[in-house]
Amino acid sequence: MSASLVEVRDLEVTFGARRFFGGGGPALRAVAGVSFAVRPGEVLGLVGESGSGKTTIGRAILRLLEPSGGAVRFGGEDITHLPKPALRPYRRRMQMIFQDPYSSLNPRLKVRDIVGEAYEIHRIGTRGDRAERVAEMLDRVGLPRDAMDRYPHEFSGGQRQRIGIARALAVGPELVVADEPVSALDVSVQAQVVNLLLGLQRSLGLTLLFVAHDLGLVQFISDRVVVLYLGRVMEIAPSQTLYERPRHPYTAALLEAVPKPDPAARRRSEPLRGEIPSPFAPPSGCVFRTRCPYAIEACAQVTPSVTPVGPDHVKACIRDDIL
Amino acid sequence: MRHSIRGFGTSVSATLAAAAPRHVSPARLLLRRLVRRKLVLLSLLVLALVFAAAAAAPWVAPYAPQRMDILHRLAAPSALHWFGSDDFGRDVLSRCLWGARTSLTVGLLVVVIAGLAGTALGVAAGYLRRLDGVLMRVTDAMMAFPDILLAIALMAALGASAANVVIALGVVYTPRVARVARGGTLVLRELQFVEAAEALGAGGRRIMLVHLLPNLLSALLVQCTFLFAASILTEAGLSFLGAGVPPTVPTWGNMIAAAQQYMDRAQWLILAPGLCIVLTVLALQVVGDGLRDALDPKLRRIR
Amino acid sequence: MSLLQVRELRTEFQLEDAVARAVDGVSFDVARGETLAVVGESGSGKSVAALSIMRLVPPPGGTTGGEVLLAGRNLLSLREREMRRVRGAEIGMIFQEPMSCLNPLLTVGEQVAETVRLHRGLGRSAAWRHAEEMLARVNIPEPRRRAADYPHHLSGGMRQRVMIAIALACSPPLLIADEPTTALDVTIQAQILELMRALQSELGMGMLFITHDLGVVAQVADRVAVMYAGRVVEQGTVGEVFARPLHPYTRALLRAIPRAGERRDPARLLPAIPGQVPSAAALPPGCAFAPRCALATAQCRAAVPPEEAAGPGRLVRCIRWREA
Repeated sequence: MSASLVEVRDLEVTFGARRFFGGGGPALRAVAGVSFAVRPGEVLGLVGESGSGKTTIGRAILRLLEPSGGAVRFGGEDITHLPKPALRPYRRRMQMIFQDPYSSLNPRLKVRDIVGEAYEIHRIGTRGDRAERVAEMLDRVGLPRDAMDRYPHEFSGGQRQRIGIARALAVGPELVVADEPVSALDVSVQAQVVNLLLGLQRSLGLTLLFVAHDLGLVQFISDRVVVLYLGRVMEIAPSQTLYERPRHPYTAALLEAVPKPDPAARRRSEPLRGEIPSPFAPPSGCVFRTRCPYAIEACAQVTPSVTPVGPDHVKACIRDDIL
Repeated sequence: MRHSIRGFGTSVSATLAAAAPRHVSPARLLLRRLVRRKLVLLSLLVLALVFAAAAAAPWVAPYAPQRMDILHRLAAPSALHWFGSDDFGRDVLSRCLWGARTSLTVGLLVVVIAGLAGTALGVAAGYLRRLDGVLMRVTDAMMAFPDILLAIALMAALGASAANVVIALGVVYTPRVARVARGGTLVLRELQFVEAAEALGAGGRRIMLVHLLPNLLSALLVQCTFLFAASILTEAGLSFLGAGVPPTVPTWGNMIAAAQQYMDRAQWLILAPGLCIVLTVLALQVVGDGLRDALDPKLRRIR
Repeated sequence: MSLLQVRELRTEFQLEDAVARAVDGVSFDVARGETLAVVGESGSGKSVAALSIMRLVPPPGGTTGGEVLLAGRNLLSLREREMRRVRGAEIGMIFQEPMSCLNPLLTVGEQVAETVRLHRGLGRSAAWRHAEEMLARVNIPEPRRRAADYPHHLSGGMRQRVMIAIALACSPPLLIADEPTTALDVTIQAQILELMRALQSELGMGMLFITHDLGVVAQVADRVAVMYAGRVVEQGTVGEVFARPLHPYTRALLRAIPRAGERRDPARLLPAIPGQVPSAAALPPGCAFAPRCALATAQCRAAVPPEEAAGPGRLVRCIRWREA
């Protein structure tokens, strides 16, 4: 376990409640006890639908959000409750790539200032130095050097994501959390950016936490996948195993539901019934039971713990006789 | 720039997105957009003229503003006195020019003070949640008073002088700017580039100065133009009521105050300074409107 | 038997400094009981094409040419008043964002009832009963109770069902769906797609389905038209186009999708399409895909390729389609 770069243990993130000058609201448990480890050099996929908590987890690891419970360990150190100043050195070791290419770049800054901001903040290198580093980063992400003096609005969505990637990698992090990095891009451009990420991951030896809702993409790009539902882990498995032999009903349903670009493989079974429950009022016991075709009485009484079902493969389901 | 056509979301805007102009800084783009409308261009010229006249008053004014021409008191506009003369025989045109200096200077200083103070307070309130509640209740309280009443009260406390007018109006208008700054900050705070800066390790100060402030400038600029107009008007009102700049220094406001009693006989005494106010304020409003339209990314105008 | 015939449709947007040709000579048919998917990326003009058919293109855009024949009648030549009678009664419409298409101040039931009151002249109670029936038909649980709910009480999937109920309230022969499931979670999307398929076969409607998701196309459509930069570049049955794509763009697009279960080969990355979609305001003179196409020749760049027939009902806009 000490071999992992990031360790998340029983992580909880709750939103809402107390306000000083005004009413509070009901508490929203976005993440309700999630545990997993990220191994150095791997690509770990976090996949789930709305309310799964996948985005929140990414941000909690980076301490952009405050965990309400549990622990986050980075490189063996507990960073869960470090005060902001103590967190600063960690900011150079873990970074994030954001989803929306149109709001993730400051429209008033030139590209050189956007990409080089980390150097300014952490006082790395001299001024001349920095320009050269920025130029190198732009090379790495496949953008022309003259992009340095241009503004974000002059670039397309795909190019802006490249700028965002350059910004995240400028400081040489070990861990990169990619939060839906290609969801807002066209299919033909998605492939370009995905290839870029994979290439960089390999050449720089990055550890990549890939958060997305597109199961096909997550499986393609990841070594292992964590499947989330309503803030809890349903299943964790190596990517290929997850596809070939899912052991959790939700994973199976998710795989079924993804429309495949193959008309011969039209879905024959019924799609999963019911709505995703509101995270304000999650079902008792197993949160998936309200939609699970295999639910039994015990599912409402007991919250399933995450148990191993194979090499490197765990699930959170009390039934072992299905799938 | 993202342009979303009203009503059908971004599906249509994607078609138009790539037609954005290249290689132009946001500032230059703004200027181009601004002068496209004739009315705005005209107003800018009017303002330029007014400012130039005010600046050049000492050299351009035909007479000293206090110079009394006893032989031509209350004279109608003529070749000698283009805008006529008042009850002391002072040249109205010269007094208007010198009055412009006062009124515009006061207006400018008020904008600077309210702008700086309001922005600082608004951004702090918007970004640092702890301050927000307190600051907003204070601004609410201040904005509950009509501008001129609050200004009068402050002037009563401070005493009559041009400097005090600036201070009083500065205080009166700070909450307005603070609100705009705070509103903008609340929106910007949620954008991903602010989050990205936090992820990079940027502290609060850097975020406010580098990321929030520059993106607020457009909205603040518009607000300040309107503020400029408002302070000219309020200053005139104060002087008219006798609670503003003392009558020894000519301002458009106190010129109108003094002219009240001669309304039936010498209309030019009111018309001249009155028109100056109207023209300047109108021009400022038009430019403010133009700025706001030019800055609004949603309005992609037809040729 | 064609319900909808679109011929050489052209729509442009007058911008400050250029003219954007969003739809540049688009033709396709939708038959009764059949689903035609129009697939393309952003900037392909697919949504603008749908809006043009419904005559809802917002200014500064305007349809400048072509015909849209619905059961023989050219919709582009109708007066606005007549067109309003067509919308809702003869064409049902569903959009991507149900929240912005539903009136937040009216209950869900009222909004469904409104359609039938307008077009069928039903009285209040008859319309309300019909609304409850429609809500039941789109599988909303407890439809009577839900009819009194406001849009913000409902989840995304529910709201989309309400949209469908509104669109189908008057049993229109044609349904136009513009990215109806793009904003939905994948398990909800599966439900909605199944619902739409079921309703379509029940009502015998023709459906024009706009999407960017090729997976959805494969699951839902009978025929497909692929759009790129305002033009249709390939048309055919879904089976044909997916099994044997003829246009380089279609081929590249299919290859660029990562599929669940395909193991990533460390040495082989996703075959990506270099470059990006051209701006509608600055289309290249010849084939719009030429700058990104491995097979492009000087002739491709010189003139816009015409639509060629590659079989019955099979069209390709490429001069080199025969080369696999």
